[in-house]
Amino acid sequence: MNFWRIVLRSLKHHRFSSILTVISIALGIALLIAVYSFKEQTHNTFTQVGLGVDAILGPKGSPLQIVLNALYHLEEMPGKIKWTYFQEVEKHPLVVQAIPFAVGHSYGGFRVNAIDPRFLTEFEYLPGKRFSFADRDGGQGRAFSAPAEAVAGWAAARSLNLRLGTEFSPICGVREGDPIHETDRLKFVGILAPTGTPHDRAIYIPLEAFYVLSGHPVETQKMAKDMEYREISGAYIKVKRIRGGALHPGIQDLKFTINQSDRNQLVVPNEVMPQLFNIIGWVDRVLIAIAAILTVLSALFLFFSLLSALRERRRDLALFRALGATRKTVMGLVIFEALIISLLGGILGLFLGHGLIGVGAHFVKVETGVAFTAGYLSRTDWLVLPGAVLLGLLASLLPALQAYRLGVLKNLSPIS
Amino acid sequence: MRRRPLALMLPAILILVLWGSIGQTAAAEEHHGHKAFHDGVLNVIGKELAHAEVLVVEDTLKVWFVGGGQDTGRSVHLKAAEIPLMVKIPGQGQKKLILKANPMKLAGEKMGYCSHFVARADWLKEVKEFEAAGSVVIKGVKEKLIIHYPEGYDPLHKHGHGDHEKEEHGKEHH
Repeated sequence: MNFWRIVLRSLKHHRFSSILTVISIALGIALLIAVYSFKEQTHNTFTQVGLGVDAILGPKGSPLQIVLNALYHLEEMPGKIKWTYFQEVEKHPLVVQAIPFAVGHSYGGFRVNAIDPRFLTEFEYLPGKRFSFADRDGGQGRAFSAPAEAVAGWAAARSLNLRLGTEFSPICGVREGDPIHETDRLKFVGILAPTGTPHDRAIYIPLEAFYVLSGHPVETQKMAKDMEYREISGAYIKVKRIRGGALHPGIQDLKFTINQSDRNQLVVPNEVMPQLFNIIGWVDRVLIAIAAILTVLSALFLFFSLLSALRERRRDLALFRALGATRKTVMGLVIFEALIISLLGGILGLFLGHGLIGVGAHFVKVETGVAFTAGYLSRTDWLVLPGAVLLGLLASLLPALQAYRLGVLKNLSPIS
Repeated sequence: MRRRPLALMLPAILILVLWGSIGQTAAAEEHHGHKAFHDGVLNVIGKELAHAEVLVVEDTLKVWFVGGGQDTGRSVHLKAAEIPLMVKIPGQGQKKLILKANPMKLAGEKMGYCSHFVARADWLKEVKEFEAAGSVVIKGVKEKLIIHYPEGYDPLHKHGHGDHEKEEHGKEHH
């Protein structure tokens, strides 16, 4: 009988334990792949891309809080800055674009960001990419041009089932129970095409509209006309670039200078976000450890199932030897059986892992607006199959040695 | 019977290897000590009362007066409008240089409340190293201002802050 047919017959004979082992290896590997892929994609999204913002001009307070609020529409802004100060920063020779905004409103669980209209028309959220309202891109309508108009990010529009012409009253605050600006009705005139960034998860209204919403105190209303009095939450800043697209090193001087002021600071998201990863890094490590333990346990499972299969088949293998098979052939049978199981586990784990990312990505996109791709290949993907082979080889080492040392006469002698 | 512990050790080794790789990626980068926020060199004033961060860019000598100890990210404001310096250049003798207050408007500075001083001179373009001395009234105390460029001045430590800083920066960029 052919060597491979014997291997396959043996696998078929122990199909239950073989399938279980394949599944357990696949689960461990799938979890490893999913965790590493999410980890790398999150890192890429949150640290390298920077969501088109080189720096955020904001009030004094936690830089991480400012980044989370200004870019990810989470948390709350720790204060406000003067409009006149923003204008001074805007004039700085290093600054190429400054987009002021005012936060603190919400609707249907989504933040309402009062912002300069240039954000929708001129701002590049990724190098070379501006917001689109075009049908072909998945957008609708146009940018706002009047105080009573609004634009919804793709995820916000989808989640709240917003249409062009839908009217809404913003909530004055971001917490449950905060008052509603009931007499103010703003109409959606545009829905942004999906960008795969947290910008999708917000509603945008004109900055001017922020100050004149009914219910705001007289001081806030005064800010609509009196620029000396006006305050904003912050501003997205783009600075000059040097060769290779890197940020102009002068940004450090600008940051130092602004940070010396009493009320303001300049936050560079790419410097701040790694702090967040240091804080939440333990979650990654726990998940990776669980996945690693699961994979190792599946290797142990493979090891014991090979060992028990060998015990059952001692007599068969002895007979095989008696019919002329060499020690190496018998040893090879065990090793290849393990390799086939672990390879199948690896391949299944690869598909399962990417399936897991695909399912998870949908929920992440709905919840955070961040787009993950199931097809993303992390460093782990390239190691899966060699790793699975190594795992199978390690698990089969001892059973294979036992098969090699199998005594023909001893195992062929009558049992009773 | 002896073989079983050996077999059990293999997965254990695998666990250790995996843990090792996790630990490697998780290793937090730490840095401590004085940081020059403008990529200049730090020169101690008094007994770490403050620092003068010095940077030469072409024909301009830029000086930022910042906090002492590790507080080098905070400006220290001076009332002076000018600070005369006597600059010793190896092989060229002494030259006079006057640092002039250059308030950082975005930091809320003005004349009489300024931490940033500059001096311009053509010969600065050619100078690779120098020592300068003057005096300043800083935090209400009159102190000698000693600048060693490019190594930095720190009488309490053998090597200057310049070298120290390069090490610190190196660590940060790893």
